[in-house]
Amino acid sequence: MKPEQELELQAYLDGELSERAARRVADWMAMDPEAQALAAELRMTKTALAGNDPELAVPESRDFYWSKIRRVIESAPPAEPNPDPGWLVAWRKYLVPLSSLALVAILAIGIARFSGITGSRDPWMNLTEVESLSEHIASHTFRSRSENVFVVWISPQDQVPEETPATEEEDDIVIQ
Amino acid sequence: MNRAHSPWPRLLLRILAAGLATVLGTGPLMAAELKLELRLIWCTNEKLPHDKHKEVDPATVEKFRKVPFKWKYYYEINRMTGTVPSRGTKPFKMSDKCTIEITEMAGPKVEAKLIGEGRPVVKATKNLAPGEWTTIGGDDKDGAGWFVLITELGEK
Repeated sequence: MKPEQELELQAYLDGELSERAARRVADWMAMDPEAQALAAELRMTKTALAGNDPELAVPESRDFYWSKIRRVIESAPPAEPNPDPGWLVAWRKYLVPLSSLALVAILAIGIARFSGITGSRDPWMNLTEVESLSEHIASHTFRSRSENVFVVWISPQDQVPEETPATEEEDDIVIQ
Repeated sequence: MNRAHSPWPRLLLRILAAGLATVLGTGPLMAAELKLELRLIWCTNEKLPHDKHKEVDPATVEKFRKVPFKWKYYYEINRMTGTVPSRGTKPFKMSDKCTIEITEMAGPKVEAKLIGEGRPVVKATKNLAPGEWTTIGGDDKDGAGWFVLITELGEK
């Protein structure tokens, strides 16, 4: 007997075949003893399984069973809240961006200060070179810090006072 | 379980890049052109007629006296404004005899060259200081004097 025939016979016993197919299988069983033997064996197995199906039942009533579960849940100790991490831990996430911002600010201020962007009054920021381009002309300079005025004063070479330095001075020369 | 990547390294890089760009970006700003005002001032102890000579305003005169210039009267002979291109030179003809040639240099520095009657007389090179007045001048006959007052009107 082919496996397809065995499956068809099993479907016939389970009532899963159409009427026409069921009639065909019934005719075939009537003429084939092997099919009859297999059908008898299958019927007996089905009967044995149906009569010995284990019954699993909870010993308590349904309400009592679920009430036990609820009591266990309710009696469980509450979860411990996380301890306070403290302000240092709370601010730790800001430390990296804040420190990087501070670094950038320091760099920017430093470069700006040393490149004259801020107009710092640092003396060496106002280094000045004055050059006489004529041999007959002498020049001297001074800066009035109080008035923020820088003066270059020229005069004929023979009129330059000997005590007048040819370098930068501050607030100590009267021009007239 | 895969751990999520922290955003801080990327954020830190962005902040550093922005800061670096800000700092480096000041270079082009420093190289901006200069807008200057130049005034040729005549100073004397003799009062000149008002209708022919324009007196310098009292506040400026007071500042001159505190420098200290000791002349009593200050007259504005000429006033010019102009823009000196970045890393460029611009001449300002203040009178027939006096020309000031301004050069914008790296640093930021400015070179002011006084040219008298077509001949270079003196050259001053200095750092720019915001709000600072620069004067180039000299004595004249009869105890009088003159100078060119150079002020920066602001960078463009």
